[in-house]
Amino acid sequence: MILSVHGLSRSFGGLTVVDDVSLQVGAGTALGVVGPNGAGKTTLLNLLDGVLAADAGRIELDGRDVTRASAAQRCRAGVGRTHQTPRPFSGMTVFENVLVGAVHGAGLSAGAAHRSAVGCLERTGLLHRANELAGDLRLLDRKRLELSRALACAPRLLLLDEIAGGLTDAELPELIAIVREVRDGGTAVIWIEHIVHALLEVADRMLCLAQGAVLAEGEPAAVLDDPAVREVYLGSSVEGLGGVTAVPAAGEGLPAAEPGERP
Amino acid sequence: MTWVNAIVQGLLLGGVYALFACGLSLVFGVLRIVNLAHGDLTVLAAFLAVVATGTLGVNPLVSLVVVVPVMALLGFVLQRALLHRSLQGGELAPLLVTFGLSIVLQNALLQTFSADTRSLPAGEFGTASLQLGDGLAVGWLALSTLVVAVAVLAGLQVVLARTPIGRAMRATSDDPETAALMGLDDRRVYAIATAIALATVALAGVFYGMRGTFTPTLGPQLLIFAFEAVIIGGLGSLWGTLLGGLVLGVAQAVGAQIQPSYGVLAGHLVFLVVLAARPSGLLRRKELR
Repeated sequence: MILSVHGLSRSFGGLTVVDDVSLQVGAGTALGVVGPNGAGKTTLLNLLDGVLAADAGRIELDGRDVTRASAAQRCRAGVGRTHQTPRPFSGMTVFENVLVGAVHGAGLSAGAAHRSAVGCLERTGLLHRANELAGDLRLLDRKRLELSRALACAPRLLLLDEIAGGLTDAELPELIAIVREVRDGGTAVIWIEHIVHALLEVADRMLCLAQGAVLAEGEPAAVLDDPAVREVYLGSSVEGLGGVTAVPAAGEGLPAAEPGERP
Repeated sequence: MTWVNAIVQGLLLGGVYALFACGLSLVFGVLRIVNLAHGDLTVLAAFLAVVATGTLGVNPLVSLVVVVPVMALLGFVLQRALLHRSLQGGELAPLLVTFGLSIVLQNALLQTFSADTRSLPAGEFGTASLQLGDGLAVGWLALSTLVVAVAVLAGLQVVLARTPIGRAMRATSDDPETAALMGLDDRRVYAIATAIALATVALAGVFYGMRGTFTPTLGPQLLIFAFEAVIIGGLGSLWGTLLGGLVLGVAQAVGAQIQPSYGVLAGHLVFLVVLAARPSGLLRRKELR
């Protein structure tokens, strides 16, 4: 297993946002994470990448305990992360953004970092904008940059936070192909997404969070069919939701922050 | 000819101010800290050179070999031990901490070196000048100060724009949390930035000491000149800092030409005019943000 998490918890004030979560992701597999807004999904990723410290629990990366490691240490140990709302270094060019990841995240030397950065931009189709200021990019390209930058860190574990949010149906297949390719290259992927049909294209397993706790985990189709999941995630009006093609409207494509998750 | 001379001397004086302001600009640009102890650290560097020249019996220029690394190391330690913690305490904390540091440094220098006025005699190099024409001469020391200032600012600009550590500084300055997710340890990046800044402070202190005199309590006045240079040029822009230093130097020299006691006042007035007319400075901040 690349990632093993046992009993991870975190609360803010009296509010428990991530509650005793355990999960495992192996090399070359993808775990889809769904759950209503405020379920603690983004906080879970922040605990995994080291931006937040866990109150309790244990995080192992490749069998090594990284629970107390800083975000920078975890990145160098192989954790890549994209944000729901892209956060480029806006005063730097697209290429420089990716280069930072290749040099400091993946620890490559100058020449190798250069080639790796070009490769990552090529994969995400952003190479033609390499010399533009990252702050000038539009949303789709910012999302691409976010992904290129994470890939440049040569992650063993890639954490994607609603990377498909805000994309049109026409743009989705390209993104799905990239994520699938990353996974097939042996990287473990955890992908939070409201656009369930995109998730189903890639996820080998699915996990549903509700109020910070794991509500269901297992085969994607089985998890989505779980009555408790349908109740909490899709709301009570599940009628007419023909399985995988149905997409919940709430929250889809909106880059809005989840109030409960960013205190 | 006297006016041409005033402008030329002003440009040379501006070299000193640009050198002063360089470290202040870098620390503000990367760490977002307004370092109120900047002037006192400059004076500290000058006193270190006094000690180095006294004990080793060398020229102040040679003492740079010792003073620059010592100040750089001090910067690294200062950031690690003091400034980084203060950064976690909100925006006001670094101001208070550097203000306190300023007072501690002034009094420690007073205690150690007394209130006597000092200078760093640079020998023949300090007094020789280059005759440019009728009534116009430039001192070698003043000229080399300007050259060093331009070289330091240009060098820093290249480091920030083209090197991995420079990109690390810009990324961390832009968004420390995301930079950490790219494998950048902000403590280390900030400490290196402070070390570089204090290395330039060491240069500024020694060159100032060779050009004029200093006392342990001169720091705040130097800080004001450095501030004015940074603000005139534009916060966080290194080329702006060079320009700001030159503008301040020329303003002071031309003011002093009108009436000797008007020099510093003219500098302040130009600063106020720039602040009112172009609050973001003559050059907008592009390099660092």
